[in-house]
Amino acid sequence: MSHAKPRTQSFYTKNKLAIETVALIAILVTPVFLYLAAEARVEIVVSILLGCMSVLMLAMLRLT
Amino acid sequence: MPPETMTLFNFTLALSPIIVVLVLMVGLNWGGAQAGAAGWLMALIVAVLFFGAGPSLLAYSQMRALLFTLYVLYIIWMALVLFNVIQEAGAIAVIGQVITRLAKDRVLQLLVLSWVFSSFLQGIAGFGVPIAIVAPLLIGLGFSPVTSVTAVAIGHSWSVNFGSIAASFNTLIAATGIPGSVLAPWAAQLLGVSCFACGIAVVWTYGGLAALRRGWLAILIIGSAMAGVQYVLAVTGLWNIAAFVAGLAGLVVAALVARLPFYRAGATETRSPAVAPIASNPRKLSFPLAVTPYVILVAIVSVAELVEPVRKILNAIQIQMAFPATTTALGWVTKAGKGQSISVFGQAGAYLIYTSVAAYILFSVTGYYKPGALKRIFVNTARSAVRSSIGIAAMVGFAMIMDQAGMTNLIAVGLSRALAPVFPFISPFIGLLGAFMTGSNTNSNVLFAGLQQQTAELLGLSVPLILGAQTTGGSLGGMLAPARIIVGCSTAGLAGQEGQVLRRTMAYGIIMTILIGAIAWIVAR
Repeated sequence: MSHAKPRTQSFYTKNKLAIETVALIAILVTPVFLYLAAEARVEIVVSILLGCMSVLMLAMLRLT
Repeated sequence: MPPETMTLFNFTLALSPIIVVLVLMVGLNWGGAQAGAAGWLMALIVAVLFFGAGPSLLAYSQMRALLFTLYVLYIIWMALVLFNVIQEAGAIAVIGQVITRLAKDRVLQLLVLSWVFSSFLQGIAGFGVPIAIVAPLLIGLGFSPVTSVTAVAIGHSWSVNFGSIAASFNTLIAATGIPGSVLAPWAAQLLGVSCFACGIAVVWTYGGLAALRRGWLAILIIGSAMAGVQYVLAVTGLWNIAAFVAGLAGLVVAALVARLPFYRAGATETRSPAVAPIASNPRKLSFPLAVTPYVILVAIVSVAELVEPVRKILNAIQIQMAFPATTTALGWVTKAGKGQSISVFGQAGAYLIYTSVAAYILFSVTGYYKPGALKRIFVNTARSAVRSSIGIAAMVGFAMIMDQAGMTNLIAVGLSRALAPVFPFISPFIGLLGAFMTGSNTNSNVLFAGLQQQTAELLGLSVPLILGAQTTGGSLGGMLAPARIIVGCSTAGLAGQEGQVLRRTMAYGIIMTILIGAIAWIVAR
């Protein structure tokens, strides 16, 4: 367990640019699906996508 | 918004995402990406639980936010590409060395670049371009990254209203229906005062009173030229080019000021530029060749913005979306309308692409790139831009949630009602709030110009004075808008350390806004 955190940090440090790029793409793409779901008036899908975006933002809090 | 929703509890709730961002960035030194994400989550929770924002409203708010984010990122990414194209050829180091020789005084160097040159760039290009271009130049001259970003963020803010072909001022005219000739005098006077205040703040942020003793003469002479030229052009109906020509006049006068014995004789603590010529370049660039990309940028922007047929052709293709009206459970209605339009070939981001391509060809043909330069340019750009882009997306996202849920309006209305007796003093702070939230004086005027106009009429105050204070506050607000600070930090290698810069710009921004508010209050009495 004591090695878990450094290993995670090392993975993040090594792949920082790739991880942040994926996060950025996700943040930029999700609103498009949100918009499409809202236009189609499928509120359940909109709510699920908003939940996904909230999880993404929570993950952003872990950025170092 | 129904009157019963205007309670202290709701006011505090509406303010809570802003407080969260400020505490995290200024108090706890969080980066823009993390603080923006926290602000986004807070805005979402408050909007859903207390302001009755439904899923559709939130979905449309995020799509509006996406359009604005793309508009901003287009500029930032391309500004970074241009910087790396120039840097890769070793041109930044050459420019730094020559400026050090021409203006040996450190305070004058800082003033010329962060106050005069950045204002000139603001006159022709929009969101974030001055800070993205000038901050790396200052770092190249040996100024610390935090001082460089802070100085440019403050330095050009007075020219935002009439800058970018007076986009903010034209929005003020459109939003209020009042002719520009009526609005221009007060706006130009208050911005003129801000011009001097920005110059003083720039030197103060570098070296306090000692730096001000070195810089006062330059601030007086150059500031008079810039504020005077902007005022004359604005009141004679030429507000579209007022900031551009004022910046140009500032550059000419600054060149003369550098020759004054006061600045030639007393050159202080001249240091070598921190950016050494790139080792990969065997030949040293000449200064004219090094500055050619900036000359090309100015030429492209001037032609694209000032020559009407060219402007029309370049703006023929626009990305724009229509949004339906949305209503919260509390009754706040956001009218149907179009989101931020993105002109694919006719906005600042596109001008930066044209310049980058021209500069790359120029330096390639003249042999100043080593093999692999193109790859290095893109990798360095991505390294600087990705984290900042996340921060901007989150900041704009939460600003749009607050706007569409009626939270931003509630803050502004609450301030104007609670502080009606001193409304002229509060007026620029409302403009500042709009710019802080959206990173744009134009958007601040869209959000609050109507509110300011109505309140001024109700209280029997001078409407042009109040609107002048609104747009001046919005102009100054850019210096403490997290989205703009993130832009500056991304080009200065300070990604993740935006809190340090915000802490400094916030103090100066608030002091300057107090000054403008005090003037408006005294005049209105």
